[in-house]
Amino acid sequence: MGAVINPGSWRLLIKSKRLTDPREQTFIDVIKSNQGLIQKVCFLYASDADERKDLFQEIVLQLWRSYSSFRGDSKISTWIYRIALNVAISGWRKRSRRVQPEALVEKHYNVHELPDEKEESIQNLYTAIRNLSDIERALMMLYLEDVPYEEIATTLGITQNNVRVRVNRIKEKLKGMMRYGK
Amino acid sequence: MENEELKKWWAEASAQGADWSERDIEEALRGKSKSVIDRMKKSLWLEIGLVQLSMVALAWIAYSTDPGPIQWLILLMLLCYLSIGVYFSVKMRMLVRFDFYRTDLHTNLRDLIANMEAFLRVYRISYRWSFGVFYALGLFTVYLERGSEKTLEFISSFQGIVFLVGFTSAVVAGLALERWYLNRLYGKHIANLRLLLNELAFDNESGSEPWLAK
Repeated sequence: MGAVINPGSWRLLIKSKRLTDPREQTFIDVIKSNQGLIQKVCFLYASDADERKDLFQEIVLQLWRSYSSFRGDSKISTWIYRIALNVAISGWRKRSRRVQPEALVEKHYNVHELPDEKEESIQNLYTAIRNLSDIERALMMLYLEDVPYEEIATTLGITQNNVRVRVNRIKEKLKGMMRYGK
Repeated sequence: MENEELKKWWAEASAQGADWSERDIEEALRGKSKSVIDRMKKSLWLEIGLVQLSMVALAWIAYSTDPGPIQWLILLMLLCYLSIGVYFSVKMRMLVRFDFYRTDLHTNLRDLIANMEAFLRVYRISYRWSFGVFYALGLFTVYLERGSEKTLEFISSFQGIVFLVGFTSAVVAGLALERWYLNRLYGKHIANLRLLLNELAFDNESGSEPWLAK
């Protein structure tokens, strides 16, 4: 008489098979080693923990869907930025539109463990960036991440000259916002 | 505030973020997508399900009704429903072929808007047609039930006028409701996407000069 496998065992079997899929494990390793990039996009575009979890899931899912077509023509970080920003800006509906930047910084970054002066600067920086438009936020994040202008242009689909001009304008805007604490 | 200082603060703030574990990533992979296109696919499947249910209900009514004009009318409606298969396949093809996210942000926005607008057009045209057919069939039923002489009599009576006004209003209200629903579902999202595209494509300070890479 053959062994009886109950539905629970089947689920475990399927799950373990999925987890041992080498392609999936490689993908998880890629995400783990680049999760900082995804985190930053989530923190900039989601307003609370639930929304952040949703956005993270959506980005990971879309990265996984296009993972098979990633040929390594561009850097892995460029590929991740491109998909993560596309999802955050255009392909995903937020639950709520407005965010409280101060709360976001306090809750998700342990700024209280930093010296007071730094804490204030970081708070101000995040508050200011969160007050930018979605497109400006993307530009500023890529700039602050030291992504070359050429790559920023490729990711956003605009010219390098446009990137340069806009980054300068946004920097001025940020400086003004941080100076007046807006 | 210098650029380097700005970048330093950014790096310090970013370094404080909480990590997602391997388990979190695995859970995210097993989760369901909430993207706009996936939601559209889900609502299409829901629509297919509802149409199939109503086809079964109509077939049951046709089976349990005595042979006569109403039965023929229901069979005619079922035949109309069969043509809906074409409409569903057009919509599904539009959604499946749309492979977004892999391009740059500008191309992605442009394609997303174009695809969603085309999808909405198919939606609106098909609903207008189906409401039109429904209206015509409704009037045809009145004719089948009464014959030509009694139909004329009915239409000129107070009851008949009330029926015509009520039926026409119901169809017009249905169309308005469909328009409102589609606008609520996709209209605002398309408008937001268009704003984003405009912001990305045009330089606001120097006029309307496009600054695109392509």
